[in-house]
Amino acid sequence: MTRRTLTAGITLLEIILAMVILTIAIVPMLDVFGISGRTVAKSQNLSMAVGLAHKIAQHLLTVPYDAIVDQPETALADGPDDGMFNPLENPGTSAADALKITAARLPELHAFLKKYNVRYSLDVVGDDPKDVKILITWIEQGRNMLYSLRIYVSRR
Amino acid sequence: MDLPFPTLAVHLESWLTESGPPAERPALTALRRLLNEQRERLVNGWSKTIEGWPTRLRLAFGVICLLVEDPLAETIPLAEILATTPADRLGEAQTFFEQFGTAVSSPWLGQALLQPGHGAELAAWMLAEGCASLPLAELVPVVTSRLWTPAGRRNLLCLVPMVIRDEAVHLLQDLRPTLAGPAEAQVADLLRLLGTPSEIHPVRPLPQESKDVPTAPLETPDPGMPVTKAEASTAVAAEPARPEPGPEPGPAPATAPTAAAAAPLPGHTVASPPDQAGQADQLALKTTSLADQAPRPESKPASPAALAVPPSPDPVPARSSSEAEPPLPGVDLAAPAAAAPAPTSTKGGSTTGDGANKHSLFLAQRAPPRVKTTPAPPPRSLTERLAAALSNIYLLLGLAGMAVALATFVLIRWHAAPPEAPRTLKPGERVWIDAVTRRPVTESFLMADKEFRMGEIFRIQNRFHDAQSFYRAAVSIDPAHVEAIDRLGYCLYKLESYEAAEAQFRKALAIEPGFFRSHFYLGRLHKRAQRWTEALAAYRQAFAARKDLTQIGIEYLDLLLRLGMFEEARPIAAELVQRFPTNREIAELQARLLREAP
Repeated sequence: MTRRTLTAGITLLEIILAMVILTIAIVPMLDVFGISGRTVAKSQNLSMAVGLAHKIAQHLLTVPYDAIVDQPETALADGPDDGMFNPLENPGTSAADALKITAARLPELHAFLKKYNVRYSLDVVGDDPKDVKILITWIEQGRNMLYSLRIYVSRR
Repeated sequence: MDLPFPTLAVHLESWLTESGPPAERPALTALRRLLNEQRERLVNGWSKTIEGWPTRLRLAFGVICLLVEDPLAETIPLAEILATTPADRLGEAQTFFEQFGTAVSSPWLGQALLQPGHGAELAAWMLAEGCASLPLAELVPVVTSRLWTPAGRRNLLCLVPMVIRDEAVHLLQDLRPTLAGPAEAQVADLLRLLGTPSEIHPVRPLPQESKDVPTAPLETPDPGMPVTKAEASTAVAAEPARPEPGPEPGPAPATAPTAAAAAPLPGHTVASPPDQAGQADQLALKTTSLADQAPRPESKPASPAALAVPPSPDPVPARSSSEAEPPLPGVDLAAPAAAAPAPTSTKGGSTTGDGANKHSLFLAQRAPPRVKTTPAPPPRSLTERLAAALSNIYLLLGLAGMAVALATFVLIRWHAAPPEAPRTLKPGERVWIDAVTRRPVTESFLMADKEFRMGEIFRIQNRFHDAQSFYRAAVSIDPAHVEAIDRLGYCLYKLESYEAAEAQFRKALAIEPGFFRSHFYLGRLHKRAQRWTEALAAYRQAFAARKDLTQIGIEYLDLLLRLGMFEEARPIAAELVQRFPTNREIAELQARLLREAP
């Protein structure tokens, strides 16, 4: 913009046009913050899914071979006592010490699992070794997400 | 000249160096006695006496002649001494008067102002220079005495401070009803100029011009004005007799009018020096007198004769700032008051008496400093304005384009495209997004994958018939399951159903063209059928997709060597050796290449 133009002032039309341009430019910029937040959430969910799948894989190595069967979709929060996640952990020596994923016992984890409706399922094929496909599903921004992990479990 | 130079000069020097009021200094007594004794000689040869003297002594001689109230003051007018001052010594002369203070020296200059010739103009200029340091109360009489010379008017107007401008206007407005004709027009011009004081600038009189011609431009005389020498003389003769001057040079209102009443005015033939008589005769033809038309108000301490001035319809022509002469010292209108003290202090002259107090008084009354305003930009034409507006629009449109491009980039870059709908999506079928591969995963795919995984178990056990059935089941559930199709082709290949296997591989590549395993086995099929070109193309694509798989590289390099394509084989061999340096087959192929290649 030339010096002469600057000294001549700015018209209302120019101001309106500038505001429109700024709006066009700023709205995507603002969206970047949302995108960044969503990306962080995605990364967090994926990390959660990977961690859960590996936890299940480790658990499968401890359960009896014949007990490794198909498992339909099961919610992690407030799930049934299925021996896989509920109880999630038992740091003590009695059943009363077992930690279940409930709002009272593990409020933060329970809220997170509840918020994203995190579920797991097992798809088992074959025999000795068993081909076990661990599926972790959750809902992220209205979309069904899935993470799968395949392991082979042999008879011990 | 038998007057000893040192005697008069030494007394003048003593008088100058003494302190106190000029009229009460001790050396004045000796000077008065000396002047009385040497009057005859001084009258006849005063000009030769002071010739070669320093300017300050010459001016002191003229001032002493006024102070002693000797008739020498008429014979040896201060204006003539001033007129003999060289141009490069005018500053020294100004310093001389400033050392006494403007209030003291203004009456002297006021008397010199009324003398004919260039000296009066110099006096007017010096008065104008010293005007800024005058107290307000003393300024009015000085202004009054100076209004009647063209240079005085001009210098007055440029130096009249803002605070007294209204007073000057009132003075002129009081005077105006008493005037008529050109005189009224002159006062009207003065009033107009007072309305625009910033356009007025001081004029330093030029000795060469003012010695021969009047300072103010002479215009054609008004018909109502006296235009002849006789008329001018009549006007002068009508003046009242000049009263005797008082014993001491009092303030300007007391002395200036008396001197103005008797002294010849510029342009008059009366008492003109012999060398100027002829010029004055000619000048008298154009001289106008206001005396018979505009009698001076009684309140004004000047005689009507003093009103005789050269006609000047526009004595102070208004100038634009660009045309103005550079302001003289002490009259920088744009300088702040603090940075532009009175001329007496800026020019190094020492003030005596109450000069310093007057200076401070003036500062208190002085107008606020004028702010130097930048000239307004020239008006812009319509074309220029349109061009500026268009350039603004272009700029804004460019910014808009950039903003849109940025927005588009951000939206495309960060907003992942929605996953492709699987081709085998059934109504009501659930779809997931694989969090790692971002591919859609349907329920059908998961069911087909279950069959596929069963087939994999049998394939690992080389039970191709059993595996083939599971793969077929998987493909039947999800026809887009590429791996199942490829594995079905593999099983058929192992079962030596080459054509069926090739069909499955092509089917898999139709769904996913970059699927490396189908390319690889298709290459094998082409090689087996000795379709070298097709085989080579298939191997190339397989190798390009997975360079980390040893078997693909080995078979590709082997085919190149078989076909004698050594140039293409060399970089492939080098890359394979680098990737798999311990692989025996690759080493043998490289040795073969070195052996067979020319």
